[in-house]
Amino acid sequence: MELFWVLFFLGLGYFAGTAIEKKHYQNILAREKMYFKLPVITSRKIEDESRIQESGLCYGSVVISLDYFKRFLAAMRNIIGGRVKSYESLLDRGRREAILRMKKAAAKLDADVILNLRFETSGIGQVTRKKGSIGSFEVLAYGTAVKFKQQ
Amino acid sequence: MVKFTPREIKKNVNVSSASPLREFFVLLGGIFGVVVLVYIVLGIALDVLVERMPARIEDAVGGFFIKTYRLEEPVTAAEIKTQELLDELGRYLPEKNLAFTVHIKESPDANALALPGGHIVIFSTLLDEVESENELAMILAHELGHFINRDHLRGLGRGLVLVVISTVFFGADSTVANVAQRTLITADLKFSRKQELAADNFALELLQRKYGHVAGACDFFERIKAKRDLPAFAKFLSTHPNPSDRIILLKEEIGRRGYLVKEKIPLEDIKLFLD
Repeated sequence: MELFWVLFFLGLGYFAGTAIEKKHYQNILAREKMYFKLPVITSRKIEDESRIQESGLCYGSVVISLDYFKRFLAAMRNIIGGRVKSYESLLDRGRREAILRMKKAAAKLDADVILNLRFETSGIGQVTRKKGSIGSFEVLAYGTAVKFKQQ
Repeated sequence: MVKFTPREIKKNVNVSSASPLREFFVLLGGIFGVVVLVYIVLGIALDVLVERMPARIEDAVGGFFIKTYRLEEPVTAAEIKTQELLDELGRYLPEKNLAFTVHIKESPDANALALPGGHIVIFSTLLDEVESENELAMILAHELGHFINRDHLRGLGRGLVLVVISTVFFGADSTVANVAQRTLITADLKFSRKQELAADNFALELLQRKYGHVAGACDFFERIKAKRDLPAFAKFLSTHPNPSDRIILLKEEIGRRGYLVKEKIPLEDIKLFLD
């Protein structure tokens, strides 16, 4: 009976997880095109600071959960080691989503560029080997939104 | 400042393109393969050990069960009667210097167990339902068959190996461990069913030696048939063969060996002593 539930959740996790991931990627690609023109760079300063009219913090954060299937794959990976491929797409989605949200916040400030991009990634509710742990993670992207003077 | 040129990234380098389903089956197959291999190797090692295990160690293991099940020496009239029957059967065993003790335990299950150290546990319900001495002798002889084939130690050892493996690989309490245990147990059930049938045949032979005929050999299975016959899919997951299958096989065996079926000996005197 327990085996049945494991298989059931594996199936559910796989189909639901794949569908959600596919949809999320479509959404990410569409929004990335939307904010295409807003550059995000990791430099801390720009040469001519006199051009700056306004600057401020902008950030975007997202929390994404694992599905049962990905977790099961990762659990098996834990035994023999190797790349945890099932988590790669998850983190990729998290980072890109966080950047997009940050860009959205910056766009509201009419920013022309985002400087000094930084990431923070942290697990939420992941207590090792404890049953009932949530198993999701947060990605926070933050930077300095800069608006130039009109010429 | 460097000129910023927006460019779309076509290929995502941060995500492996391999199919997750393929990875799932490769990993699952690989891990189970290794686990099954270890299990088989340990199982074979165990079979060798079981053949050579000294009686002293077996008694020590048996002592543990005596404590856990709180078994006592035969004292009640029913136990003494059953013990007498067991001793008589013991005289027809190929190995002479083995001691067996019978214990009767209150339980709603109609079942019997063979524990290390020559202890046979009969549940009271079973004794209640038994109708003839021949039937009881068949049950006792079946358990004796497990002792002679050393199944009682094998079963115990395999259970232990299973728990050790799954704990080492997956930790004491995890979903993967549960799945692994279930799969391995299923693989081993066939082994267990084979042992049951071997014990049945052994019992049949012992019955023939003691009584000169095999009346009552199928009685117990006839009785539990109605209660326990399983649908086809569940047979695969059962430790014991299906009662009706066992009856068919026993009858075939009786025919093949040309054993006779004569009058059964009633069991009134044991029943009177049961509370």
